[in-house]
Amino acid sequence: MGEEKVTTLLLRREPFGGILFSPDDAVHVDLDHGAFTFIREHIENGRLAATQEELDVLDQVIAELDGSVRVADRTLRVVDYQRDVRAFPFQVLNAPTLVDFQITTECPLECPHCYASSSANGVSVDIADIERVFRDLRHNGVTQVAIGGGEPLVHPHFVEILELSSAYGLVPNLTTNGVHLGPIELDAIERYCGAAALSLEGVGDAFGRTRKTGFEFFRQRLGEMIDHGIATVLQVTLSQQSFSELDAIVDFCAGESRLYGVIFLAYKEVGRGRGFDRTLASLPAEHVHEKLRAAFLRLSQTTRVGYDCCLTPAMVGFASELGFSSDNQLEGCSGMRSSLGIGVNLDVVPCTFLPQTTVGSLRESSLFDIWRSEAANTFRERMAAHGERQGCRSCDSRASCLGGCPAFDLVRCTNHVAFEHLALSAGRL
Amino acid sequence: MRILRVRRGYTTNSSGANEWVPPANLGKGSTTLPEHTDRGVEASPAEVKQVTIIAAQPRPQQDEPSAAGASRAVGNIGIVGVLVGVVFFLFAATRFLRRMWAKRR
Repeated sequence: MGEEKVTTLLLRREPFGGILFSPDDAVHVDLDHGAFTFIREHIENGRLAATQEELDVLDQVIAELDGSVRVADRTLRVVDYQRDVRAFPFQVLNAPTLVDFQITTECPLECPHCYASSSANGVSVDIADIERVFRDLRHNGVTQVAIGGGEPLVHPHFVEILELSSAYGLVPNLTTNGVHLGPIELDAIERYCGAAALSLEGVGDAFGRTRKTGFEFFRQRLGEMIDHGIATVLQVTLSQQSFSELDAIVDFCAGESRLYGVIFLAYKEVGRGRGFDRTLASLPAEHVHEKLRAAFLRLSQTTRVGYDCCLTPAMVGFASELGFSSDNQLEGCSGMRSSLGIGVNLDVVPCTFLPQTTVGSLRESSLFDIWRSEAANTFRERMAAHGERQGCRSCDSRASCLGGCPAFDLVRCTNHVAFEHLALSAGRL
Repeated sequence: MRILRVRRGYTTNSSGANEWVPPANLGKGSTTLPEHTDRGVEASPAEVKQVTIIAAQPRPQQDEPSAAGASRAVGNIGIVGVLVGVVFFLFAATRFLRRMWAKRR
């Protein structure tokens, strides 16, 4: 038998019970109150299952985490805040599980569609501030940090940042353009990161329309990351232009069998991206849904395939075909419900695409206080009102979709389109 | 008592949470993190259970026994005791009176 790996599990109290998190493949197990109490006692005190119910829960938890290691043999960290976040018509966790952290606005590529408007003259967050933020995130039970920029690899303390994140019990994930990937960076990413992503908005010549580096460079970097054992994700941002090349993108991704996964993201007209291209909302909804459905069904034969919460309205029509059940529903916008963004000035925003919608600053307040602040609740109220608008009010998927992005018109759902046809014919739009 | 939901998979993107197609369709991912040192909890061998409780704003748990709860419990025991005593006294007094009545007759 090889050496047994030590994994620190995290138990976090939540309004519904709690979350058991394992950093191995970022498994979040949502437990009801009874299961949370039992699993906590089982790991903390070694209490054995006394009823069939407890035995069933334990068997399921062990199967979800890793069948080969006893749950009771793992180390455990508990974050046990009491529920005092205001109630909303959707689920709001006691703290975010995911934080998007923009550690720099510097990027040598200066892509014409960059939502962060990054440039070669950008600024980076001081390493002492980064450690302070990580400590705060740890105390709130944050599970994953999506490290972005700018180009994160240009940060002078890049390797130390990954090391710190991991040391504070936060799984660091990464998006890079690959330009600064050398042996040291590859080693650090492989050692500390859950996964790292390269962006892909076109294949061949189409790739070069947005990236100075060209497609061959991209392929080379992709190969190096995979060969180095890095869990590599291809991030496909879907705009009007890239959607027209979706078949070629899917062909390419399907040919890379060693990927961790392919993730589809919704294009937002933000930063330099404003006016560069148009969102999927500019395309006929049925066309978008059918092509997305085909892409998901094809790619799911060879790799993981996923989407960001901004695309949820386009997913509801074929969610059941992908294996989503009523117990495993699609989720709408996660901003200030289970995620938030931190800008390079340590301002906290619901999402990094809303840099003006600041809900607090980590220079002045703790994450605990910002999460419970009036500014945070104001954004949640906006989201609640968005989900209550006409066209969504009578929809069966409203509770999970939440009416789509509360800030941008990104993609249409079938119900929304039907509503607009009705409203147009009635002369209301 | 049950598991409500399981989500699996890393999030690299900066546009909020993402969702991977449920792993039942694909099989579980094989990627694992390497062993690392947790700064708040010292690295320990697998057989050692090490627990750190973090609560920035500790407050009494709802199910935690409190002083008020304890005094309420003592009060309840007292009332029950008095009631039992009264019933016992009445029972004994009735029997005594019946016996006295029978002797007289």
